[in-house]
Amino acid sequence: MLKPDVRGFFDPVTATWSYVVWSEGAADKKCAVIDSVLDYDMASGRTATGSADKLVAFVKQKGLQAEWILETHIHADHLTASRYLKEKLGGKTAISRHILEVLKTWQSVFHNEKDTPLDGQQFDYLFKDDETFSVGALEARIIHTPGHTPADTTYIIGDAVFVGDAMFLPDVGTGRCDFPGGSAADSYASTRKLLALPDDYRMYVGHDYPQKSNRGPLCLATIAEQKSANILANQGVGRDIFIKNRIEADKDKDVPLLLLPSLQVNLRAGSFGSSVEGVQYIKIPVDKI
Amino acid sequence: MSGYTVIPAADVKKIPDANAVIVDVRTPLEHQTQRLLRPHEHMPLDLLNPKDFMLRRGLDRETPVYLLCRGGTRARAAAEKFIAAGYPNVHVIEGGIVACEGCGVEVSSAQAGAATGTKIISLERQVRIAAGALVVVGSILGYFLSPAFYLLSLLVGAGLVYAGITDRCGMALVLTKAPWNKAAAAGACSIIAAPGPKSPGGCA
Ligand SMILES: [Fe+2]
Repeated sequence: MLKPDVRGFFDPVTATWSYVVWSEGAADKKCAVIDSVLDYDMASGRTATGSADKLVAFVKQKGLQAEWILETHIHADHLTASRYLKEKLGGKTAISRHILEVLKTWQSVFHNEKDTPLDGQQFDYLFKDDETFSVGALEARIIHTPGHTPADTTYIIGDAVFVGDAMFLPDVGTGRCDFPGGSAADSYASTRKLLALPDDYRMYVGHDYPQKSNRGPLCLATIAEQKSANILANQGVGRDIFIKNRIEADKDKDVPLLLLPSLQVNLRAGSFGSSVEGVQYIKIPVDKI
Repeated sequence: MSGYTVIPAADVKKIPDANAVIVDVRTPLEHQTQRLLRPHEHMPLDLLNPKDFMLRRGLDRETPVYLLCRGGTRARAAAEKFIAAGYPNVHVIEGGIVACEGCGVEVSSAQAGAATGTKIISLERQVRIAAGALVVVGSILGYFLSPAFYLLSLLVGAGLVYAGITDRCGMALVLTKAPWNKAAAAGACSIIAAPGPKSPGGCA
């Protein structure tokens, strides 16, 4: 099996890991970008591309060609830079077909159907569960790993497993399940799916929150390490205990600062949508969240 | 490509934050006492596994690696580890953090024991104390018990000369493994761009 090279980029503001995935061993220079970040300041409504430009510079410096711009899920804590990256690097934007359920859920809150089509056509491609695809010579497939959101998807490229927020590093645990459509029971089933992968596969996480452990941000744990050490979801944790602990941990949790802009922009595949006299807006629904 | 390059400490100011990594390979206690103020990683030499280190930080094979210790010796040992593991872009910061401080690279002021409340003795002083103590013990035992103990003083003396000439100190390497030199942090911590003061409402 061809094993991918992975370059991670950590955004300290939202604690997000973004990835560029390619293979030095392949003749082609194709790459995939996973879970990019567009910087956004809530108070001023101003965007910036510092985080995304690091990715762009890396891809260009390496002479790579973006084939895919992937999202593991509709992020609720940061805005995707997929649209900006597509302009700069090319490539197809893609996400799981389960996003259609998420589009429907939020329609009743945002009523953005005019510039946020409910059929998902704003993305270049929608993956079916267990679909296989390729990144250049690298073999890839997706598996459905819901729980954090109903559309969470894991991309398995060679021996690298990009789990988004389905699991975090062993000392952090797993993704919260209190967003609309989230489910601790689904999350448990997803963690079992992931732990069933080969022990030496590399699991790359979508965020890292290292403050508690007095360490710097890291992006990877092997499946074997997750099995033995994940504080919430190791091999020995039963379903009922996981669900109880997850619900307990999610009680009274703060809403992510960027929840409202993130959802609206990410559901549009990175676009701020239609404009009035050239001005684009973010809606703030009152008493709806 | 083989071998690492050595850069003057003043060039630390030119190392970019993005797409390069500075690794401080001193002991946790030394690192806690005094460290670079710019983003960098900390991984003690005896715990350093280059491939594992790079993979877990999402760094690819070609990311430039800059190694830092107190005076440059341990950084060279770390550089050899990286070269042996197949990394092509490896650099040693000449003169270590001592030289950095001397040429205006921003370094936190040495604060002995501020964090733990205990007095931290630098590795170099630990070496002097240990070597001196061994010479004294060797001489006393040699005088009172058996002249064979003079060998101990002889060995330590020869070791110090060797260390002075080659800038390789076996005793320092042994001392870095002592428990009191590891007390500060569990394993490896890093100071590279830790998340903001309070990243509000994450996904965990
Ligand atoms: Fe998330």
